[in-house]
This record gives sequence, C-alpha cells and structure tokens, in this order.
Amino acid sequence: MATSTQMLKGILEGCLLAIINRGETYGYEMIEKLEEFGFYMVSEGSIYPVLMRMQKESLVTTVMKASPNGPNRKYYSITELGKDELADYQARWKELSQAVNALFDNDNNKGGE
Amino acid sequence: MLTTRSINFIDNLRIYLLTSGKNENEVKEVTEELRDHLIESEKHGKSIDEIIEGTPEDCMDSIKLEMKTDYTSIVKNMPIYFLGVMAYFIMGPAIREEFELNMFQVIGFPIISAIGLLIYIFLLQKSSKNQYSSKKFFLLGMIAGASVTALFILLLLGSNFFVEPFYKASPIGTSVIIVICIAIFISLAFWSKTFSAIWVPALLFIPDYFYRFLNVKEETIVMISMASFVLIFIFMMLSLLISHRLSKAKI
Repeated sequence: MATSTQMLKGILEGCLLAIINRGETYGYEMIEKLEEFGFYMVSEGSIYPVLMRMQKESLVTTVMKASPNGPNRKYYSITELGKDELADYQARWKELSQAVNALFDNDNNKGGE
Repeated sequence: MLTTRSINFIDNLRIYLLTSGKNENEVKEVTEELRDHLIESEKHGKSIDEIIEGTPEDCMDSIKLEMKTDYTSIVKNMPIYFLGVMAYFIMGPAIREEFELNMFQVIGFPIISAIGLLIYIFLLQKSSKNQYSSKKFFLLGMIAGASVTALFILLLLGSNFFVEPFYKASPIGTSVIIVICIAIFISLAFWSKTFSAIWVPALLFIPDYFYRFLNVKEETIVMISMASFVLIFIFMMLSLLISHRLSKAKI
C-alpha cells in the first residue's frame, strides 16, 4: 500500500491535469472521473495538496461558484502552461511506461522459458 | 449535513493552518473546498477515514506544506496581540489608581507576552492537529491561561520588591491610561469581529471598579471577584454554544 502511495504521488499530477483538460471541474468530480478510469487506489484527500501545488505553479486557474451543498465550490480550469506541462508529461510517461513494460515483459519471458 | 467528526476535522484544520501563519483567505478557501468534498463523499456513504490520506495529522501537514506562510499578516497581528495583553494587565491597576511602572516590568512584559503567545500557539497547534476532545482542550487551555496569568502577576507584583517604580500615574495619567485601554478593547472587538473583546474585560474589571468607587469591605471585593469570574465563565460557555449552533446551522 505504501509503495502504491509513493508511486501515485508522481503520477497524480499528470492524471489530474488530464482530467482538468477535459473541461472545468471540481475536487469531488475529479475523483469520480479518476474512478471511471480505475483509479480506485487514489485517496480522495490526496488530490488537494497536488491541486494547490498546480495552482501555485499556474498550471490551473480556479474560480469559486455557489454549490447546492452550501459552501462555495472551487472549479479548476487548465491554463496554457498547464497544457504544455500535460503534453510534456504525456511524452515522458510514454517513454517511461515503454521502458518499464519492456523490462517487465523481458523478465516475464525469461521466467516462462 | 456533515458528521461531527468531519466538522471537527475542518475546524481543527482551520485552526492548525491559521496558527501556522497561513493566509486567512487561503485557509477559508481550502477549508470550504474540503467541506464541499466531505459533504459529497458522505452523501455517497463514505466516511472521513476513507477520504483523507493516512492520519488526519498527515493530511493537515500535506496541505500546510503547499501553503505559503503569510508573514505580512503575522507582522500586522503581532502589535494587536501585544496591545491587547498590555491593556488587560494595566487596566485593573489604572482603575484602582495604583498604576506604576518599574524597569523589571518594562523589560519583562514583552518577554512574558512572547512566552504566552508561544504557549497558546503550541497548545492550539497540538490540540487541532491531534484532534483533542473539548474536555482535554478546555483543561489544557485553563492550565496554560493560569500559567501565563501567574507569570504576569508575579512580574507586576514581585518586581516591586526588587526595584522602585520610575513612573507613578497621576490622576490625569490614570484617566488617559483607562481611555487608551478602552479604545484598545473596542478596536479589538472590531478587529476580531466579536463582542467578547468588550464584555470579558467589562466583567473582569468590575471588582476594581467597586474597589475604587464604592466603600466596600475586602471580603466583599473577594466575593465580587469570584462572581465576575463565574459570570465570565457563563458568558464564554454561552457564546461557545451559540457559535457552535450557528456553525452547525450553516452546514
């Protein structure tokens, strides 16, 4: 579990950027969208420090709007800088995942021999 | 409607972030966002344990780390704190026309005020981060408050045994001090947006008022002092109860 938390920390920023890139959204909705893709392992509260960091780095902008729940709801939109970061992230992820898959496939093939 | 655990978590997070020197508006923004999330999650049958990552302490720390410390607010609030503490401790002797100053008090006052501030910040941070129960917080708050007050009384009374005062307030000086103290209490009420900054000192200094203006026995003054403490306690409990009900009604 601890390993998966460590792994997720690095991945979460890119995934949240991808979710926000689909259109203006808010915290709970992001969790729902992540779960649609199978990210059940993401602890709901863990997205907020990441969102705060992305806001500080101007990767996203925020706006407070009235919500049916009572307190104002914070909506996130991606910035141009955020889109660049997402493209960069996707390229790095593709490279990394290919390398990891190649290594694991190689190990599995050897194990099967 | 949020569960009590979630309400307590949000309240504790707010106190923890504020006492860590974070910007008030940013703290409001993040706590509102989390409150909205918790309401949605609880609607879907999830508990706070499933929502926060690790322990509440870890969650609070990870949020704190992403927020900048608001040094401007800290610098702005420091004089307000020191003026407030000063007004509380000089108002009584001024009403009794006994106000005087010695060098020990001039040096010791800022030092003890700073120690008091550190004790209160430590207590608030510890209690909010570790989710102390109201009873435990109240008990520790009373101990901390009594310790700081004892230090001030020791300084105000004890220092007179070692050094002579260099200033004794004249009747006009006394009146000026009282007016300044009243102005500080009123400003504090506006700044903190709470009337307790006015009614707590008003009740606290009733015995001093009796001492100066009414010819009553010392035993009666002691009784009046005790009564004023009981009144302050009752008012505090009432105001806590009202603010708790109001915050519950908002949610």
